[in-house]
Amino acid sequence: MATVTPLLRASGIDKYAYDDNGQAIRGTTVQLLHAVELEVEGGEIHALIGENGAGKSTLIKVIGGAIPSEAGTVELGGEKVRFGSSRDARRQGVSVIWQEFSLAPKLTVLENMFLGEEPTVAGRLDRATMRRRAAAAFARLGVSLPLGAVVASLSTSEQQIVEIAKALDRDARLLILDEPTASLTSVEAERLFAVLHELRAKGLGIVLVTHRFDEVFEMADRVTVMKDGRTTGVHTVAETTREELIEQMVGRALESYFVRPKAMAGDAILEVDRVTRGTAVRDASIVVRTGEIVTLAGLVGAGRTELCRIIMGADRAATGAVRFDGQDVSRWSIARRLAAGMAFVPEDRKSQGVVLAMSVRRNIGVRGWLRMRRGPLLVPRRERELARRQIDNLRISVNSPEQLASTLSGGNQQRVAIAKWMEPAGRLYIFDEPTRGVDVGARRALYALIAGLVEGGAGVLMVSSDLPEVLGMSDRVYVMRGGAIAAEVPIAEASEQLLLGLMLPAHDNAA
Amino acid sequence: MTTTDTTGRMTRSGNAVLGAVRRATSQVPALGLVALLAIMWMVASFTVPNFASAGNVGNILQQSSDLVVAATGVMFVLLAGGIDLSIGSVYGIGSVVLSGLVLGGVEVFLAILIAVTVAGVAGFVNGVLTHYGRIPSFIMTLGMYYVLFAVAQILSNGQTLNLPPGTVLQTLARGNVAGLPITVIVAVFAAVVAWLLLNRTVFGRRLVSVGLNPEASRLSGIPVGPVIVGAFVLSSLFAGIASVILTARVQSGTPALGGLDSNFEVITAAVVGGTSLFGGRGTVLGVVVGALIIRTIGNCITLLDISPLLYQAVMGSLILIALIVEAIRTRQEVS
Repeated sequence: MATVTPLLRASGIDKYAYDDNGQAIRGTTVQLLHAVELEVEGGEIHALIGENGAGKSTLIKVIGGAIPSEAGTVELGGEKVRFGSSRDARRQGVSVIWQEFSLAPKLTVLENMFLGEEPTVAGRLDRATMRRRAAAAFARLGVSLPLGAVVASLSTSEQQIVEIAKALDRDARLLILDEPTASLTSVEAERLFAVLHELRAKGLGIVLVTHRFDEVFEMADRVTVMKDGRTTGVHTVAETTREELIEQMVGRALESYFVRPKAMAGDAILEVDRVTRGTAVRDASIVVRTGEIVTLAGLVGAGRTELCRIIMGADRAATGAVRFDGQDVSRWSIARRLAAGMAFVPEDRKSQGVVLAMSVRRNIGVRGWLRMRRGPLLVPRRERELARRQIDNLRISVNSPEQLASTLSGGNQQRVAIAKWMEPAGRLYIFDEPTRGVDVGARRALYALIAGLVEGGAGVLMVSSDLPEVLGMSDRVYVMRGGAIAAEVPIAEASEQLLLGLMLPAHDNAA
Repeated sequence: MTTTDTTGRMTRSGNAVLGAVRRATSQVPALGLVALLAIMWMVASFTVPNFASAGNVGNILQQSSDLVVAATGVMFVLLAGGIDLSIGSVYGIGSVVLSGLVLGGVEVFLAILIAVTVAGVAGFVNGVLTHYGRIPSFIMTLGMYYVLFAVAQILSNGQTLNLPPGTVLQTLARGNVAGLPITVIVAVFAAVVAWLLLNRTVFGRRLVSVGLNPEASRLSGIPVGPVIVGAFVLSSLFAGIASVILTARVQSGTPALGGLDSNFEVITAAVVGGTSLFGGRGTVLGVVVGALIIRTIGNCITLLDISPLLYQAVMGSLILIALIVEAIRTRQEVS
């Protein structure tokens, strides 16, 4: 094995951070990448894991030619290469599929496949060649997509397939995917994995940047762990454990990863009674008491987010009732429900949780403005004080409360989305996938925060797709399937297997 | 991300000055516009005959007063992410109602109150149908433009309603208090009220949030509908006040008050003043300066005795330039 030249060998990669004026900042503590190594064989799926900010994205940008590095070499098939741009890299067989696709939404699949590099005959588009090459690429993937379809009409996973087909057309030898399953449903993820297996069998090297351990263990042959811009471990997946990987990601063993609140369940704060909305939510009834964490488990599309939106008033139910603290709030507006003590932290923090183009101060202040008035006028000092208190309270790392929310990392944006609900404290917190895309270290802080809310006497309803999280955090679990509550499981009886069995559609009525 | 943290901290002192300037201009983007206006005035005072005379500067300020009021008003709708194309005939209806009532013997201040209220009602309808009726504001307010224009025509019988000399309205247009023209005082007062509304009230905070992201605002408990209706009402109320100023200046009521391009002029002033057409961004100071810039250009064109047709070309170019500047600014923010 050692004598065989690997498909990719990146070694000694250094990458500096830059200040506002484009000057490289030197010094090992602030270096983005520090002598990073990555080796990928042809015919293997190689997972690249690490916390947010560990340098995974920077590394694949360097390898994919998107940015230059200050030191180090990249060898492809034993030959030293230097890519001037992503296109340059793609031509030489290295394609990166970014999380944000580079497709033009209004053009067709075919046009996108060759965007900017269209084959021409005498200065005119050679559509026949385009069609032939595209068909060949899709055939290699074992997938067929309508070439004339406008990209915007495709699902996220289909768009991903277009990107991969584009890479194959350029004779990719190494395919790098940046968190490809982050926005896919589990069925779509399975389809993607099938495609990746197919490509592996054809000898391609595949780098899979991921946050999900189950993907590492299901999909990858080997795994490279990064932390703080350094490579901290390379393992054959069969010979490592989740615990070992976590330890190398965070630099310490996580004894108690989840934080269980010390609280007793009190009275029912939320009662949802036989709520139905179209086919998304069907005849669902749940109860949440103060002092307890209740989770909604289920597959993507099971109706969990839809149920939460009905509870907080963003959508209306056709039939059924929502009672909050004993009162029927079914006809109340969102604003009124929130004023009464509901708090909602949505799944999509960038478009719903925070206002990106607004300052951290105003984002945190939004719930308190009415109470910051003296006469008709708002006193900005009170808003500043509130923002400072909550920045300290939730340990949000900002340079200044005046910073725009868009300049924060994902985990910090999530904290801002939560911070606005701290004063006045809510009595029912609804968290929709609170830890999605949040790295391991920040997750623990979030769990502690949620536990603190419950200890303070609030009830928590949490949507989570992460089964260990469901098991580690909740007092009771409702499993949703096809819009209905399939089961209520006390935590003492819950196990990953049991929950998964309840989440998946039964064989006889598979949808 | 760690990168931004470290870059922030590592900025060297030599570049700190540059950074401070950038920060200052980013927090008060209107400063650049103030500088632009100052440069325009300096250049004009050397190149345009009679520009620098004391009378002319007073003239510009006085002629700007209606535009300042209407443009700060429309800023609220632009902040909400909408547009108000009905302003041109809010001028008309306000003017006809005011003149008609005064001619009918109604007390001037009561007539002003009624005219401005009528304007406000038009804004309320604009806001309600835009938000609750889900009609794009572009279509809604364009429709309102024609409806109001027709109503003003009917009310005035298609005639110009000339005001009798010697009413309080004449004093409003020509009078001074402490050496300042009353219309200028009204404009300054309107701008201060607008500034307070935008920066020191819950409504202003909510408006900006809704303009930047309506869905996130709604999920944070902001009553989006009332905020949007409020923005349209303010736009029309301010246009109503501008209409009173204009009517007093010309001493007559007409459905076509302010000319047929007044919509465009008002929105151009707001956009030149740095207000985004995509919602959420705009400052009162910027809009005031935008209005002054436009009236300065108009004034120079008059003084230089150039074809007034050129004025329209300049307006058109200005709004395009302003939009290009905004596009560049947005792109920089994204990268």
